[in-house]
Amino acid sequence: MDLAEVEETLKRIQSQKGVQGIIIVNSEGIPVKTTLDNSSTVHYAGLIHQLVMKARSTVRDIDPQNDLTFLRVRSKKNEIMIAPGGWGFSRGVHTHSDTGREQHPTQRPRRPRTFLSGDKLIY
Amino acid sequence: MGHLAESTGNYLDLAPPARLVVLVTCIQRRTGAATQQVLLDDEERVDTVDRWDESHHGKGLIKPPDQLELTEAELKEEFTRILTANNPHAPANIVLYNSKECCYKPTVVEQMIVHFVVEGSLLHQDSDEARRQKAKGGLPEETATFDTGAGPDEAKPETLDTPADDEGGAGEEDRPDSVASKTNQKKEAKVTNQFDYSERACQNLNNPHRQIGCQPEPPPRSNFSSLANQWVIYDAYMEELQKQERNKEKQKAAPSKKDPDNTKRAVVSTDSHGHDISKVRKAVKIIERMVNQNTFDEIAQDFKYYEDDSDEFRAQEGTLLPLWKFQYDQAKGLSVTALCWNKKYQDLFAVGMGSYDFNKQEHGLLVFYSLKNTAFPEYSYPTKSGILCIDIHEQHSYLVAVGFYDGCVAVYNLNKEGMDAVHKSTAKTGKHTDPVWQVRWQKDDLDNNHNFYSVSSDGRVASWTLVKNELVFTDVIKLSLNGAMSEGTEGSQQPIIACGTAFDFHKEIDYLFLVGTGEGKIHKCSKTYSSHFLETYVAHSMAVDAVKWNHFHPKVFISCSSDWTIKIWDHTINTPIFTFDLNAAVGDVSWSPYSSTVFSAVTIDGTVHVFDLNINKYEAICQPAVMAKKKGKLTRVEFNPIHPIIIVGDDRGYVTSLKLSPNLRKKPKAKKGQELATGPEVEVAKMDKLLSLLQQPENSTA
Repeated sequence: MDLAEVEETLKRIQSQKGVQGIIIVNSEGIPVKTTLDNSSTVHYAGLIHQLVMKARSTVRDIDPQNDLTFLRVRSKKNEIMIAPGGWGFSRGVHTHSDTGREQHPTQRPRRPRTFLSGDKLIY
Repeated sequence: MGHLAESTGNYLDLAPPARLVVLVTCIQRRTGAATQQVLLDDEERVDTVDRWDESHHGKGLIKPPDQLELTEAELKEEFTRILTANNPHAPANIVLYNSKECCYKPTVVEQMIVHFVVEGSLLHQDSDEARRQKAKGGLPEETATFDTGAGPDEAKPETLDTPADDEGGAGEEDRPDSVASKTNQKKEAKVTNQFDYSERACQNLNNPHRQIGCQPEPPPRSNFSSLANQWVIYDAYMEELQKQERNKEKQKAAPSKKDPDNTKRAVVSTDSHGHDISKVRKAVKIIERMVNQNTFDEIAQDFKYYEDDSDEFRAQEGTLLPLWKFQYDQAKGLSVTALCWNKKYQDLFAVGMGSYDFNKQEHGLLVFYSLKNTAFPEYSYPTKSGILCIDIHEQHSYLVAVGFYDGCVAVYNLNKEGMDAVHKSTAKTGKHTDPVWQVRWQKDDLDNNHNFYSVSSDGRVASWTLVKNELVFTDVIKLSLNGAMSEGTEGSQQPIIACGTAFDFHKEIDYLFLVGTGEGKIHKCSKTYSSHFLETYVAHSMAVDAVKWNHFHPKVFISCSSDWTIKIWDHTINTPIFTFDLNAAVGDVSWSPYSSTVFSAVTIDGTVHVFDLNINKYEAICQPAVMAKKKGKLTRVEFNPIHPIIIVGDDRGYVTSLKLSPNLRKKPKAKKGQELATGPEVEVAKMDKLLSLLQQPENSTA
């Protein structure tokens, strides 16, 4: 039952605009499921695994009761979103050039982002 | 002759005849006795020769034939002979030139003649060489003295003296040196006789070396490396703690109660295999939210930060900014019949879908959306019959009470897996016979059971209690046109049962509630009095669609109806305080949670009206058309408890969220110098002021 739900969610994510692919990785860093090609998958998996470990270690070192909820790596061309789920984590690679930030009307001023976690809305 | 005698000093000369000179030499000492006689007697010389054959003595002298014949006188002549140690052959007349006297002088001539040299191996024991040899030999002094063969007594004290001397000499020096020298001396004294000891070596066969090793099998090894971070330690402690707790629980053998207010809504199983899926699920969910956030990034930004600055220029009007639009594939054809925000998780809201159309009764859907993921619902429960009302429990926000079109009520538990309701009322358990229009959770009763109320078109207000996993109902009140009738009255006339279409419980006074009927009346009832109403208001000409108490003011409530009007009441007064005519049937009305004078209403022409009585008592301050007139009707509206947004449901199954502009959220301005008071009291005061204003003109007109 859960598996079906997960599959469905993955399908939805994949169908979202701008999403290039999804990789699901187990706790050792070995990709379990992917929608990208093999070489890219292995590439991403290897590189990001260490980053996540480091980030998680950092967060938990400062406060052991805390834990990493997600990690975004934004670059010029695209964005890598990483969500660790306990020990396994999944990743979406997403291009954000399509959200049309350039088309954003000037009337709407941008405010600085704050990331709130927990029960509050995440921005 | 003298010369001859001198020259032949040491030798015996036998050859010359007549007078022979016989000289005594050392060689001839052997024949000492014989030769002495020879000195005295020349003639006897011959005898001496003969005397060598002393064995022949006694005979007469034997004269050689050629002997000189001397007279007796001549024979008695004495000749003197001199014995000297001069070398007869050494020249006596060696002269050397003496430069001093300028003449030749005779020198002394060496008279020594070496006849025989033999090199001996004897050493004097006191000589250096002897000492050296002694040292080498290392024999003790005593033996050394014996060995040399010298007079032992003489030698001994000598040798003893020498070490003593040595010691005495070295006495001033350091002791060890003297000791060493003593030992040395002793060593030197001992001279080994090379035959005294023998060093003999003898070697056996050396056994050939063999290496024998034994190695057991090494224990299996594995590499272990680990980090010991702060959090690793913390995790270990937590695990340990959990184990202990589990053990305690097992010991107590008490059923463990699941903590309802867990921060994570997903059920986390302790089995290891269940972990993987649930964790992946969670991770995937987060990813979905992140992706959605990216996709709807601008909207999220607007939601949080956008404040319409143009409101400053608009004197009193405000605007509504459309944010997200929620839609669900499976909800096509259904209309939104109920909206409810979750009190605890203020980004979660429930949408009940069904149909108001009597003819088109299909299935229903209970859907939960979160603002964090606006593309897909968090939970969805399909139902057999259309849903008409929802209520989420205030404390236990996973409990949802649902009222259906077919008269059933059900309770869903979001924490539990499965698509079915946890409890459902059936015909046996007293479900309503007509659609249930409103459900409301109440506070837990005395037995700590959850309970909720429902009102339905069959005229009953029922209370349902969850008693040990069962739904037990009790009728609270029966609505009738003539007034409430108790069950047991003897009645010739059948009481005409009114249908309840809406109700609301007072925020503070628990037992007080209002019921709106399909006839347009509103009854004020009490839980305790089941027989009659406290008050009845003739409110509308058509069915009352919604009735709501004010969040702040204890006396004010609002009602709306399909007769195009909204009315605001003071429950102590029989007539409405405010009446608004909206030119279209009003689907729903709702008070705002932040102000006592702001409320919003939706009409079937697709317009949302927001009123602020403080600003404008007669008109809405904002009337945006959210939907085009022909496209759909708006059916429900709800304010978010904390965020300045409202959600509006329509009959297409869409839920639109709108942000309220600042004008719509105005708080009373503080006078300069005064503190801005916040809190419900202020709101109450605001309302009171309004009411008093209204009442004054009323009084004046009356």
